[in-house]
Amino acid sequence: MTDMQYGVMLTIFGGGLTLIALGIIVAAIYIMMAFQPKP
Amino acid sequence: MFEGNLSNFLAQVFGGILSFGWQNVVMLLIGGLLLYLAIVKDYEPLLLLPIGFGAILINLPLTGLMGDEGILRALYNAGIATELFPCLLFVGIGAMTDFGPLLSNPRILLLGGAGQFGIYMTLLLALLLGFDRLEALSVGIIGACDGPTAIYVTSQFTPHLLGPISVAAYSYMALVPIIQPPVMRLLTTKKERVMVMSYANLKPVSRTIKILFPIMVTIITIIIAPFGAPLMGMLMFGNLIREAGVVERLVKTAENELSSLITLFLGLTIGATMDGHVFLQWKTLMIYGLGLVAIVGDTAAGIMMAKLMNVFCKEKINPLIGAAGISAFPMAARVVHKVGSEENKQNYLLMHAMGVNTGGQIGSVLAASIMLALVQAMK
Repeated sequence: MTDMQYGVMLTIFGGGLTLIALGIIVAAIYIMMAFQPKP
Repeated sequence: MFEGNLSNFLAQVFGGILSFGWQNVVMLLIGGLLLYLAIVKDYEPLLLLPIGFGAILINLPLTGLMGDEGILRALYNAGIATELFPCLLFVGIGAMTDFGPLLSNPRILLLGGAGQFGIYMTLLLALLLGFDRLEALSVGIIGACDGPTAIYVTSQFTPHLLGPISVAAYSYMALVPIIQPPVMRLLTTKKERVMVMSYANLKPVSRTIKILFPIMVTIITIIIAPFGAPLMGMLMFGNLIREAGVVERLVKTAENELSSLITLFLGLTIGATMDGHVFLQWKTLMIYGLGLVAIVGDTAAGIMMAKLMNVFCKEKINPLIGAAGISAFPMAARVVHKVGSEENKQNYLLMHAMGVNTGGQIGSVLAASIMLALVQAMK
């Protein structure tokens, strides 16, 4: 694998996984907020 | 015998002067410049002052400070080689961070993710410019705009670039108020910039949620990217002790004494890596150029992400707050608020921008953790 191919793979997988992980966290926050006791 | 003793004596007394090369002189000037920026211009003085002085110390010849038994070597081995210092600093950062504005409006966390785009853009550019894979990764992490993360990643992959990358990361963080506004004005229309964001629809956040949040983030992110456990774990631990409300002493220590102590040692040891023979290369100049590209890329990506979200969301976001998706907390949030209020005095974007900014903190650590995991997987 060339260095650029390595960089592109890292960008696609790294960027994609970061957004997916953040999406999961966002969903988890919405769920927690929906069930939160009244402050 | 007398001549041998005399030459020995002269070497001991005048050896420092005789060993002085042009690299030493240039690095003393650079150390002086960092001190000037820190003391006179007030640019990130907490880090740039110890870094500047460390650079001066290490470039005075024959001191042995970074020798096998040197005191700076001892500090370096204890805190940088082990990655301990950046992790401990994250405890303090977590203790100082209020994720309340983010929890009130969770979708803005995605802007924190977009704010990491500069990492990958810079990584690719660095590869094009001839850096090798690990060097390009370390240079790209400047785009996280997060000092401890940059130090953590760089000390793992390319410790010889620790000096220039740390100085670049902290210098650009200090220059955020200068770098970001032109990018923000270029990528937004007047109509977008004056958009008022209300606080009426934001949900109040209970103490229970604020306690559960760091635990939840720790579990989710470490399952996805276990290599990021030291960073994310320490950040969220710091936040948990803050939100728990039952260990006030620990919170005060983390916010003050711990953060200050680690910052002191961290800066000095980073400065100690700035030996002229290693620092004064073309690569160092390129790192500074790429660092600027990273911050501009982050800012642009955050703003564009906000515009994209406006296409799908009923409740619109002022695209300016996307620029706070970088991890320079709270500087980026204040810059966004300032630009927004310059366009429309009725607009108070600060709390929205703070939410995005704290999201950027999570985004940067997450992006670095995932990058570490992928590098291991792709070996």
